Amino acid sequence: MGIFSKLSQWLLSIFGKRHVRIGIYGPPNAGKTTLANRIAMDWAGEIVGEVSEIPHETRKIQKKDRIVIKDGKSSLTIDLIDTPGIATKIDYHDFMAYGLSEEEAKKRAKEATEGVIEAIKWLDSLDGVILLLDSTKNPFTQVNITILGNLEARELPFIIAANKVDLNGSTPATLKSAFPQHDVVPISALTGLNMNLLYEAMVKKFSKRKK
Amino acid sequence: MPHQCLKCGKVYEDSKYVIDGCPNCGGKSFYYTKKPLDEKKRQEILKEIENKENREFINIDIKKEKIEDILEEIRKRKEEALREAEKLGKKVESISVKQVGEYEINVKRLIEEGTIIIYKEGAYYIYLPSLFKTPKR
Repeated sequence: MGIFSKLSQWLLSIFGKRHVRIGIYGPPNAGKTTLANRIAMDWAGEIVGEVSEIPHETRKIQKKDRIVIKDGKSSLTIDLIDTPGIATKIDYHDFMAYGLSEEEAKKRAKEATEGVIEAIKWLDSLDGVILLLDSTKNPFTQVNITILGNLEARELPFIIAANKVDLNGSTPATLKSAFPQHDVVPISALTGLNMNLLYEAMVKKFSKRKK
Repeated sequence: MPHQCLKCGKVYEDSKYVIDGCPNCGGKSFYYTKKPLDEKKRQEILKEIENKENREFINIDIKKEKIEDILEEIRKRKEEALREAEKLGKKVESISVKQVGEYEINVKRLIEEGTIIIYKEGAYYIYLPSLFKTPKR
């Protein structure tokens, strides 16, 4: 490693400026694309992808590069990766309930399954993760526990964001007590509530170099 | 019980000849019986075995005369088999349950990626631990 890159790394570590690749992960319909769009709109003025109430709308990785997030004097440049929802069962019958034809529903199920594989493969090339959970739902699911366990084993820095706090059934406190050893930020990606807290947590968490 | 060689009709008490072959004529097929069979009956059974073996093991039924034509036919069939494998390789599931007791195994995906995804009645069941690799230390 050259002297210049060593010096620039040292400077970066002091001023907290880093370029990192951050992935948004979570179960289907947790609001990952809504959050990605919120972050991209807030800092880059553009959206990342389409959202829909039908689960598995995002079936391929969506990426928005070079978003600069500022928190006070510190800033963080991120390449934001929006991923397909991770699920253990994808049934085309569920999509037909939303009015999709059998053919469309079957295609969606296959693509969503491929999306799960792609999303997990991407973990290898990330510097950090926002694990987005739906605060109106039971946190103790196979999907949540598996992702969490894997992130811990990889020693990948991550923040848990408890989304949909604007909804009536939301219980972010349950999420906090479910994962007491982790940072849990209650947000609403849709209304923008507490996004400042998430940005603060992101700059703090993802600016640190991996050991 | 004695074994009778179907080829020459000799009867043996010792079953080791069933494995070694008939010391008299080298026959490999034996009939397990108390009452030795006559030659006609033995020939019938031998023919039956032969037909059965042909059905089971030789299903390359090429009715061509010239060697070039036979080779061309073999090449075509190999291509066909490869296409079938390719089609299966495009499927996302590693195991497909056609109906209870009837399964289609996507060997390519299982061997190359090790992902366990079961497809049954329109639903994909994903075994997450097979997708999440053990991280490198």
